Amino acid sequence: MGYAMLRFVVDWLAGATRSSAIAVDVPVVRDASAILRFLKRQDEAANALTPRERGVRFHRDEFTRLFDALERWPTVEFITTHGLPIESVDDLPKSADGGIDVVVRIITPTEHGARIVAGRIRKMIVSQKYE
Amino acid sequence: MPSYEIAIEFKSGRVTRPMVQQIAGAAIHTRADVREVIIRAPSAAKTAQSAVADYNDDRASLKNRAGDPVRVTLALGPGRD
Repeated sequence: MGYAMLRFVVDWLAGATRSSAIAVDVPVVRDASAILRFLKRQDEAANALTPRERGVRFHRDEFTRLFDALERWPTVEFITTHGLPIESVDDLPKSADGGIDVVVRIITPTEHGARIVAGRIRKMIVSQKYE
Repeated sequence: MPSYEIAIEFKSGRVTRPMVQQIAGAAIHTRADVREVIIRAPSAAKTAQSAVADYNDDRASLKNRAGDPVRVTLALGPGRD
């Protein structure tokens, strides 16, 4: 059986040398979308924000929304942890300091009133509805 | 007149338990009369949320230097982008 198989292969190979070559038409891929996607990803990676830039942007965006919502509330003021007043986003600390970003101080005639205002501010931040 | 201070910390990444502890500690250390700490972040670890629950537990609540309880709140959700 093994000899027969070997004989068949040898005969086939011998015949192949005498026959003409088989022409195979290999399809040529001209689709460059993969390369374009790769270049786009490379471009996006090069232009992406660094973690620090992302943090600063998040910080400024969130503070601006809160500040815009509360700036006309007469009982509320913004201060730094050192007690300095914050009147715009430019007064915020410019980099990570390991402390608290901003302190909201509520001054009302009664303790109960302060708690109510604090509750409204808390709800505003938690629900992300600055109105 | 009575005043009520809320310390707010913004974090652009995921908040972990050590971060909550650091922020709460920093708030009480720098603002003796702080009554509330709010941490605004896109997301938080389960352990961070359990730390907040521990701080708000009446039996072992966080206290400021005047002895008043300090409420800690996580405000989670994506940013504006």
